[in-house]
Order: sequence, then C-alpha cells, then structure tokens
Amino acid sequence: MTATIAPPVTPSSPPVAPVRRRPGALPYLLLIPATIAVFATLIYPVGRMVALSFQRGNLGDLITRRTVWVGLDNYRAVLTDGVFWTVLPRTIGFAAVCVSLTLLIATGCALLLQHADRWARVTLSVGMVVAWATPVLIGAVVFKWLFDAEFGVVNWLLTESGLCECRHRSWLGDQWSAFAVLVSIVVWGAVPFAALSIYAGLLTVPPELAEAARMDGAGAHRIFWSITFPLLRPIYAILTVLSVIWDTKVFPQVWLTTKGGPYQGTVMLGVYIYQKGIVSSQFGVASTIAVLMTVMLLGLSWIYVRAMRQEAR
Amino acid sequence: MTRRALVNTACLLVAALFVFPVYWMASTAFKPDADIVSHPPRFVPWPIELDHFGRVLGDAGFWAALRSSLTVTVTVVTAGTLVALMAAVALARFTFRGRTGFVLALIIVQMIPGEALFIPFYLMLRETHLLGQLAGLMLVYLSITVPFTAWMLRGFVASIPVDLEEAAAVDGASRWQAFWRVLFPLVAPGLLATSIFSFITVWTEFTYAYVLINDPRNYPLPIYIQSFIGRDDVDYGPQMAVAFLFTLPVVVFFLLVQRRAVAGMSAGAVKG
Repeated sequence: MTATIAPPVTPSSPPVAPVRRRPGALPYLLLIPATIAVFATLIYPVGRMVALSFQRGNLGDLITRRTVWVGLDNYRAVLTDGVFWTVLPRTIGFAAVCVSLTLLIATGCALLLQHADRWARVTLSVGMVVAWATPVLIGAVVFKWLFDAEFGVVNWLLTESGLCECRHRSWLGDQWSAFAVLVSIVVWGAVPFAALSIYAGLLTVPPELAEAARMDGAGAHRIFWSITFPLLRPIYAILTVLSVIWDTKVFPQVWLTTKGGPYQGTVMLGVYIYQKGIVSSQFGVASTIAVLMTVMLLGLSWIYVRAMRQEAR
Repeated sequence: MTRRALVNTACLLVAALFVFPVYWMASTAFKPDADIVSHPPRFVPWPIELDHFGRVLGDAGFWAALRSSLTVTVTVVTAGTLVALMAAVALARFTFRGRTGFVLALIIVQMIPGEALFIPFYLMLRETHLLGQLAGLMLVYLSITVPFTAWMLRGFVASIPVDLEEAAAVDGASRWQAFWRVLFPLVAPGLLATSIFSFITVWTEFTYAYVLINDPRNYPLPIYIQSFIGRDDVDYGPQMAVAFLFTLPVVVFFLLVQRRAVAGMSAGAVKG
C-alpha cells in the first residue's frame, strides 16, 4: 500500500494528515453494494446451509415451510452411511492421485522449459497455455469424445500401436478405466498452471548455485534435490494445497463424462451432494455433507493462507 | 542426438499432447460427418466442411443460449466490476473503522467452496421464484466475482500514488473529479484485466448454471453444450462446433491476461 507516511505524532497534535479531507461516511457508502452482494448471496447461503444441516429438509417439509429441527440426526445419518464412507476415501484418493501426477508432470515440463532452446520453449508454453485456457467443461466434453468406444481416437491409437486390442473398449463402462479418464481430464487441465509456476520459480534460482554444485561434482539429480527443490518448496506447498482443494471439489468433469457411473463407481463428494440434494430432495442430509466438505476445504485453505503470509514476511 | 536436441524433441511431443485435445475438437468441428466416424480417423480436416457450424448457427436453441450467456456475462461483469471498484477505492484510499475486517472477510469468502453451496442457493432461488431465471443466476455469479474482483482492484488502486489525487485536490478538483480524471485512467488497465478474469469465470461456469437453470429457454451456452450428451448418440460434429465457438473468445482473452496470472502467483510464492 502506498499510504502517506504520517509525521511522528506528538500527543498534542491531532493525528490527521492536513491535506486529506476526513473521509466521513464516504468509505462506508462505497462499500454498501459490495457488502450486499457478498452478504446476501454468500454469507446468508452459508448460514442457511449450516442451519439446514440441523433440520429435516425433505421436499414436503420445504413446500409446507415447516422447519423441523432434528439436532445432530443428519450428522449421525451421514457419518453412519456406508455410501458416504466409500465416497469420502474415493474423493481423497482421487485428489491424491491427481495432485501427485500434476506436480510430477509439471516438474518435468518446467525442467524441459528450462533446458530447451527458445523455439522449443515457446512451443511448449503456447501449447500449455492453450490447454490451460480451455474451459473445464469443454475439456470434459472433448475427452469424452477422445475416449469414445467406437470412434474415439484413443482406442484407435492404442490398437494401431499394438498396446491393446481396444477397438470397441468402453472406457467409461468400467470403474477403474473411468477413473483413468477422469484423472487424465483433471491432470491435463491442471499441469499448465503448475508447470508455468514452477518454471517461473526455476528462473529465480541463481544459476551460480547449480554451477558451483556441478564444479563440486554433483549430478543433475543431486542438484535438483539439494538446491533447486528446497528453494522452490514454497511454490510446491502452495501448488499442493491449491490442487488438493481444486481436485477435491470436482463436479463438471465427473458429471459431464460418467455422471458418477458405472454403478455409482465414480461418485465423488460434489456429485454425491448433488444426488442427495437436487435429485432425491434430501436437502438436510445434502447440506450436512456440504458442511463437512466445506470444513475440510476451509482447513486446507487456512494452511494455504498461513503459508502465503509466512512467505510474505 | 545431443542432450539439447533430446530436450527440444521432448518439448515438442509434450506440447503436442497438450494441444491435441483442442486440435481434435477443432478438426472434428470442420470435418464432414463421414470423416468423423471413419476408420482410421482422419487427422486433417480436408476438405474443410462448415456444415456443422451451419447447423449450429441455424438452431434457434443456440441463439437463445448465446443470448442468455451474453446477458448474464455482460451484466455480471459490468455490475460486478463497478461494485468492486467502489469497494476497492474505499479499501485502498480511506482509513476507517472496520477496514481490516472487511479485507479479511473478502479473503475468507473466497475460500468457501462454491461446489458446497448449490443446495442453499437452489432453495433460496426457489423460494424467491427466481429458480430457472437468469436474474437468479446473475445474483449468484455476483457473489462469486465481487470478492476476487474487489481484492484484485484494491491492489491496483493501492499501487497508484495518492499524491496525484492530492495534487488535483490542491488545484481545486472535487473528489469526484480527482477520481474520474486522475485515478480512473490509471486504474483502467487493472479494470480491463479484472473484467477479463470475471468474464472467463462467468462465461465458463457450469455447476451453478446446471443446478439453477432448469428452464430450457434460459439455458446458457455451457448447458446447451452439455445437452448434446444426453442424446442416444452424441452428435460430435455440432457439439465440437459449439465447443469451438464457445472456447475461442476464452482463449483470446486468456492470452491477454495469462502473464499477469503466472507473474502474480509466483511473485507471491517466491519473493512475497
């Protein structure tokens, strides 16, 4: 901030800079619209969600506008629900796989960018920016077409290259291959941002450090793990937290490809909330799951903000 | 092959992997139907066929969806930027009680995962009879865009020396004139960047649009695009043609602001 530096204040002089006019009510007036926008459309829904998680909220209750408080019943129901306990670990596992792959591939790409000639570097960056810019929903729609069982180009490539006899392989018909497709959609969309961030970090590492280590006989591996990685740790920390948050709340990628199928095999938290709430009108239970998910993600965000503040110091 | 040549080749291969899905979308859009379902697949759309675009552009549903998307996006970006600019000026130019609290609230609000909130939004809009209406969707989008827009703009406003406005004030300019003649032209690039960010966010949003807009007449483009999937046989030609038209402005806008996105991120992460 470029606030003017006030002269040292002695007890007798008024603590107001002479040139500036007193703001009075103006700043509050300026904040009114933003406050309304944020309060009425965010704070209220959050409160509503928390309240609903303690209420019985079936369609009938909502139509007759009867509010029935049920205490912790919804939480008890969710926490003893077998489906929830398959969906939760699945979501976490999915996020873990996506985040690890994203960071691994992004590191590789960043190192490629660092060591390539200018023309190759520009080509790769442009390629990544194109993938990054592609909206999530389009990524999902296009991958569904790439993996199409009959005319998808992936099946054709795999068959032609002799990797498998996949002429009519239905990727979304089997739980694990459906997962593979989902992971590839997420990772394809997530790597560019991570790779470009890591690359930007690599540029700030003084080349003399690596040079000195090389003189002392350190190999490329050693240099990366002992010099580069420790310097980039803050970037990795932030990328990890952000990616975990993003990959935990996937909805469009799943809904536009598998709809949670086959046989509910790829249902993750976001889809589960949708199915419970919008599809089967159990708004109380759905809100409870949403509250649990929010608490989980807020915890992660908290780590993120703390890391940011530590770095800012 | 030298090491450098190896690295360069790897770069090209990886770049191809990233671009291929987008290329495949575009090339499918420009291929005749027979080539879309051919074995082996055709990798170059030749001769270029504009039939799918013709079919999309001849569909009344597409124009309705485009109108919905444009209405929502333009309204939200304009109103949101205005509201956020007012807040940003208040936060960056005045000291007043509650300022720190408001800034903190802006950060916390951005951490709430939107994917968890569609149930209360759904109920709120249903009770106010806005479910399925674009107005309801716009309100929801405002709540998403205003916090981050205000947050970004606050930084832009704060980076402009306050002395300029004070000099104008000394020369007899009113507060409004100081803002409009001095501050506003200097913040304009920041306004452009944040508007583009909110444009991309609103234009491509899927989840809320899907949950809150149940009236086919009001479908915005993302829902129109997904409506191809429900059919027995996905009609990939027209679907990829719409996807192409939908993605084009996003990529163009994105290229304008992506430098800022990476730079901001890494500056915060490395140096702070």
